[in-house]
Amino acid sequence: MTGPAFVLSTGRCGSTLLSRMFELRGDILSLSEVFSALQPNAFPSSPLTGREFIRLVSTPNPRWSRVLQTGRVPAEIRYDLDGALQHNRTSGVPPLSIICLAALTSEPDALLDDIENAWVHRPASEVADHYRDLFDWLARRLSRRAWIERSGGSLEYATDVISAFPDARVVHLHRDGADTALSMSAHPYFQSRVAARYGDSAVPQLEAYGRYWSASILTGLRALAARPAGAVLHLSYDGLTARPDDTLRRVERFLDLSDDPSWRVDAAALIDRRDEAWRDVSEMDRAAVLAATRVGADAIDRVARALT
Amino acid sequence: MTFNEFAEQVQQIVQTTGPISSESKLVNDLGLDSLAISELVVGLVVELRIDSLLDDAETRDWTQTTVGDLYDRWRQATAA
Repeated sequence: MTGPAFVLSTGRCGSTLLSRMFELRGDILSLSEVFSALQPNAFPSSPLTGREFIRLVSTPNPRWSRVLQTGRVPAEIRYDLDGALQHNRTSGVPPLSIICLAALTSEPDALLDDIENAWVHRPASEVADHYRDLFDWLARRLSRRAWIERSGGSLEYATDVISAFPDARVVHLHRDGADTALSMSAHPYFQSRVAARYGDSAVPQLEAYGRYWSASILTGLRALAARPAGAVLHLSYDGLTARPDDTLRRVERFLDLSDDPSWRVDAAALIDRRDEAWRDVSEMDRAAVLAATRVGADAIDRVARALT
Repeated sequence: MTFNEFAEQVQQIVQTTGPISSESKLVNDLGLDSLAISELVVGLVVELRIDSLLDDAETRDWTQTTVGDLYDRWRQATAA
């Protein structure tokens, strides 16, 4: 098994697309939204027994349960809420199953049961060790030689990810700040997230999403600045969608994956780029979000200049 | 702007209500995590135009930074 790898991003920037691209490969296991489904409790500071770890990954997260109960289920949720599975909108869904396991199998409940059986008698260890063992276990079970985890919005807690996995390789995917902020403003998860942080209103102004985006970028870049050269690959959504073959070739080299031209063609076929609906946004709101995202955009530019 | 007015701005941005002095450290005294520090930087740049905060935002040791340090940055920015 090669070392840990992560896609870190602000969310709403094409990271789900990148995960789906990885799903098309036979050599790497694409793990989606493990950490985001557990936040804000994904990185407890005390060691956990195997039983405690299972409780962590299987107890429905109130943050996501609230989203499910709104009836506006985000497209990235892969668990079949209306089928014959064990959990539903009312009961809440185990965080590990709601996206990650449901993307790997049509029987996520059975897979979670198998994980529980394999984990419940494990001794106490740091949560990072449990994650690493779990991701390795899943990769072996699904006959992959490596894994890459991707959680939308993970730049917000990049420090935790980097601390837990100091040997990780990180793909940092970013997209134009104003476009990302506008996309966040239409997404129920980010609506509740931004309202909680800038919460003088249940419906935050677009500028608040811009501030959240800039803050996430600054937080993430600060965490990534401590990583050794060669351990971080910065990618732009524009580059991925406009030049997928070149961009995915860089990803292959960075992650030590085999050169697979047919994968790159298949992956490029997944791109369905839609520009954000700025026509419905007032000039004043647009100016405010541009001002708020300039901070993060400048930080990305500084990193890009340092790398060239 | 006096220090107390500046401190009010800081409280508003990071949504704290406790007392703030110029010696208050962002991490130990205000309890800010890394995202909250970034939100503060963004807020101060957007609202008070302290652009110099961006010069070392990724490398600065924020655990040692005080509210007084930020106020000094604002005074330098307005004096320039």
